[in-house]
Amino acid sequence: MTEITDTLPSTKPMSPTAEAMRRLRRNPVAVVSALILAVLVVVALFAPLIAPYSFDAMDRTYAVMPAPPDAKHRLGIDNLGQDTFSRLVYGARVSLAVGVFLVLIQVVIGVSLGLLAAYKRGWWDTLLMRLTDAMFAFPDLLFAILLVGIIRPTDPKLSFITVFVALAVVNWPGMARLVRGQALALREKEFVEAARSIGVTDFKIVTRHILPNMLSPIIVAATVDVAGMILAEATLSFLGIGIQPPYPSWGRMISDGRPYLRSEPMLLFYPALALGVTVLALNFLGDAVRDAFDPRLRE
Amino acid sequence: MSEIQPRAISRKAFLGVSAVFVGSVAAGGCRRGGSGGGAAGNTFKYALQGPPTSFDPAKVEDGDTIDLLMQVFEGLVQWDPDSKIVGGIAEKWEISEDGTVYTFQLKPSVSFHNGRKLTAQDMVYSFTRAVLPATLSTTARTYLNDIVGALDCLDSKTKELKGVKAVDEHTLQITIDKRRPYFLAKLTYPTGYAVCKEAIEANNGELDDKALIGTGPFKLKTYQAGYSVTLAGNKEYHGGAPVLDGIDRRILGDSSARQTAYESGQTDLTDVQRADLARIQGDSVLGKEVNEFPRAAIWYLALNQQAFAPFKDKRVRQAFAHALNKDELIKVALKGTVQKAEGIVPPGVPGHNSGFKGLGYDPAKAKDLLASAGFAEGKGLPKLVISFRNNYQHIADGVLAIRNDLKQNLGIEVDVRQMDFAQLLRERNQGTMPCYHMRWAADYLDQQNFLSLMLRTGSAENTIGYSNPEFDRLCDEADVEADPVKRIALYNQAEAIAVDDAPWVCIYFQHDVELHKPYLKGIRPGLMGHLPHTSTTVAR
Amino acid sequence: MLSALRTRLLLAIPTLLLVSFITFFLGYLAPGSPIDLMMGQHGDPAIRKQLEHAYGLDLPPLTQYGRFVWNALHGDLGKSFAMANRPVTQMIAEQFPITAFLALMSILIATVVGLVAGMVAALRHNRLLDRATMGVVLVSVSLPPFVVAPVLTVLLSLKLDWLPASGWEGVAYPEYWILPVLVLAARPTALIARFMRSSMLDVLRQDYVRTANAKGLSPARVIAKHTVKNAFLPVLTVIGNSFGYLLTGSFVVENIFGIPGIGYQSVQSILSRDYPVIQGVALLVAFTFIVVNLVVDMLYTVVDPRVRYESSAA
Repeated sequence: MTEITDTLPSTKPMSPTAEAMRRLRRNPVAVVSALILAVLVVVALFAPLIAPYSFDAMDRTYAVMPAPPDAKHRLGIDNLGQDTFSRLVYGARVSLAVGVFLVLIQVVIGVSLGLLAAYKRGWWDTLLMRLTDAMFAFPDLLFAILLVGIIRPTDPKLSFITVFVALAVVNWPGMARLVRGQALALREKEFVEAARSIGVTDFKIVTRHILPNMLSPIIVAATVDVAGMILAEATLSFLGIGIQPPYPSWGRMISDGRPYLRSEPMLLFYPALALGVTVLALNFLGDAVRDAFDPRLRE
Repeated sequence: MSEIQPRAISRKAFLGVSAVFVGSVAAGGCRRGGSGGGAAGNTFKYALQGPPTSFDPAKVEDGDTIDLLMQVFEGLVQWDPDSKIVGGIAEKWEISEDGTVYTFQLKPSVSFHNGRKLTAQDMVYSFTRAVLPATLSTTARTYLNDIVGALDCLDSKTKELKGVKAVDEHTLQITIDKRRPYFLAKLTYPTGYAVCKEAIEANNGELDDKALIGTGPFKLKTYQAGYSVTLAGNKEYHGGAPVLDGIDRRILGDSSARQTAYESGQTDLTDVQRADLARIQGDSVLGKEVNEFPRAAIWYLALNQQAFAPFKDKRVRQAFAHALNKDELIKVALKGTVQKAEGIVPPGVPGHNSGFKGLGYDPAKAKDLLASAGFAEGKGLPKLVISFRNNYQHIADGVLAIRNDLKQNLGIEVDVRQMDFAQLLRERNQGTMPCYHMRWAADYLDQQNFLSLMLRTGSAENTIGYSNPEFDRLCDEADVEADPVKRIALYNQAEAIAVDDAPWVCIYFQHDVELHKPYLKGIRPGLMGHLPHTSTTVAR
Repeated sequence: MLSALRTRLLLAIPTLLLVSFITFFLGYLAPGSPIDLMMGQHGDPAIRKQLEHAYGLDLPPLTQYGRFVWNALHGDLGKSFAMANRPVTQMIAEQFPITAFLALMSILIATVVGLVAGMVAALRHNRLLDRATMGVVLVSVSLPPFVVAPVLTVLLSLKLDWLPASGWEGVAYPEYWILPVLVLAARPTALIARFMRSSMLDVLRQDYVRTANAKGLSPARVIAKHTVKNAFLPVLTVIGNSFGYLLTGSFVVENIFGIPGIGYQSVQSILSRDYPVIQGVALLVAFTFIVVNLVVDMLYTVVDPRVRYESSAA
């Protein structure tokens, strides 16, 4: 599998995207990772159809809880009699949503502000840098915890939103910095200067030349971030301020299962495995995408 | 998820992770080979669950810090293992006919850790200091408010505490406003401890680790902020030198860390997470080291009539009470290690009514009651939220069990909401939370502290709008009743009324579960926590 | 360069002010106050008023903030509400060095391991070693510290009896801090490895590297002379940013391992609404972060003289 990507025949010319997709399809790591993520997305979307029980249904027929897997509960039940498999399925919803939405928000904010700062320079740049400085310098966990305390709505169902907002506010500056740095470097490159000299508009330069060329670091950073956000939600849950019970997220399940580490380690293992596999798949896919789109790898 | 398996690296990686988990299963019964800390000698080691919140007896409130300070300081009187009041600094005392004047004879042998003998004047200083606003005591108003002139001091009207007088060097007289049979019990609390005037004055009036001088069986050796407090035995202690050379209190905030520290021999005693209890009980060694102690505390579900109109109807409250399967809650959330509550006053508190039966689990009756109140199957009931304190899994588990019962037995879908303790306390005291699961732990062992204080109309602590004139009358009568037997009977009547009215659903009386190393002996359990470690021994 | 440094330090002032301002108002807006915890369930409003007055919490928020800034400028960060009236500056002086030490050790390990792993992976791009290295690196970050830490403790302390379960006996006793450092280092290691790999791959394909190869220079020389140094540049930023993560990562890790650093207390301080401590920690972490990043930017100019200081200082 190792030699595939390096020895692609390039007999007929293709569009860069098609070429990249072709390379991606022939990378087994990428395919497996994408498959896993696709399965997870399906699971998350159709959780109520897939899960045999509701996430908060308590089976009170057991004398000892938590209980190991049996015919009724394929991954066992937790200490309250809730079906672990069902909670994992519903947990995928929360954890994936947290990861994907947050990174999308980050990319949108980060890319627009980062490009603006790098391209307009002047006080735009100064303002953004001061703001990101402050946000960056701020202990992010401290900030998130404080924010969660304040914006926690009275309706516990909205605790999702609280977590989204808190983590989004804390995490966008990283992306903004990255984009700005890349853009600063790119705008000095010959091809950008050439474009500028023949009168191409700023907007076009940014969208046609600068943005595509910084795609790979953005993708690398974003995939790391999706994982980071899922873990950040887990940490908030660990501190008792993440997703509110009875709603499950993998992070919540991990922190709920932690005291059972030595008696019923599977309570911790299953959500940790789900989390670990997802994070790995995201990272492998991110790397593969990066390689596939890298123009220098194409020859 | 097995799709990833064909890839060599991933498999390897995952095997690594699973090996760790499998290893942790196998780790079950293993621990360090006995010896552990030989250097520690005759030192008792157990963890503090957080940094001490205060070194000032006038300010301390949390049980963990009190357990530390009660080794160093003493009051006039103290609890014994049978929850009776015995002398501390006071040798004996007399109470006047009308119950308002207490005359204490102090033990002449009591001296501070700096060697100076304690006199009645020191008690005057200590009480006065506690009630002066500059001390910022939050507990003086609860524990010393009955003393004549205490409220005037607390309200900055005077600096002299009229009700406390040194008659001679070893005679102290305290006058209170009216007969209060529970007054002595209040004096057991740290607010009434003797503190050392010259040490505090030399420390700019602050009582912190630099002025930590008391008369108790142990004195402060070292304080490393955030890390540990160590105490050394006070050889000159008037009750006889403690057996222990010292006490080491490492600060370990994480409950799993405390458990590991215990099992690896770093500590001699630890609290136990309920979630880990089954494993511990099943372990051939640890299983024998489990100790369970009752505490003077009740966990209840408050049904606030002020914030949730349907709770004004007694039938709705009773429906809630009958709908909760307390046995099941105790099983899933507390692994059976507490006592189901029928009434309000916990066992061990004088006057606890052991034969009393409250509102039992009866789903059918609960349904009928709710229907007769006009909310059949929960229809028409506004959305209800149950609040509780975060970061304690057994509390969350209990609330989720309650939620499940309400859904199954009454058809009510409630939401649950965990919050920081500060916020929970604020909203409780403001009376804005419709429903919450909380604890009331005794300030002092007396029925008055559970009934009159918490549920009487007009009491500052009653923020749930409960009011029953008959209950109030019985409490008022009992509060000043001189005959202990009559007094208990009156409170028992009041308690029965309150349980039937169901402003609270009484769920369970708290028990603490601890692990004690087999060589740890002589610990004196008390309803308010362990008593000072005067007789504790560690023979490793 | 010196004037740029001065500008940069001056710019830290508004940043710190902004941080403290945000912290103050987040704390102010958070429901519940330290007074609530002091009063417990004895919630008489009259006592509340008295206490709020005594602690200056009844003043208008801007006045409170102004007071804080004024005192802070005079080196007084106030006293902890929840921890025995301890002056915050004293807490920081006693406890921050421990956190800083853990962070430094972690960043050291993360840098060394991360750089080597990233380089190896890049040089063996898409081969087994690349996948293996990155796989291990990624697995190590796919679990949160509060899973990894107890599992490791059970394994290494209880089962194998190699390391003490928890505690801190000072820098001289590595058996106490090696586990926390490793747990802390996992995430920055992975970050650095990935960026290094990525950056190396870019550099390896640059014309000057090909030219060097074509000229017949030995591969080892090409890598040492042309590749590593250039690939290292973007990674420097990641290292600087990781420091911030380490400071907050210690919140959880110190708690689990019973280490008396500043981290554990920060989380407790929020739960107990201990405003002076929250403020102090926020300022301290912010300040450290600014200094570390200043150092990183200075290193840029040292490693790569082509980088004019001004451009990275903006």
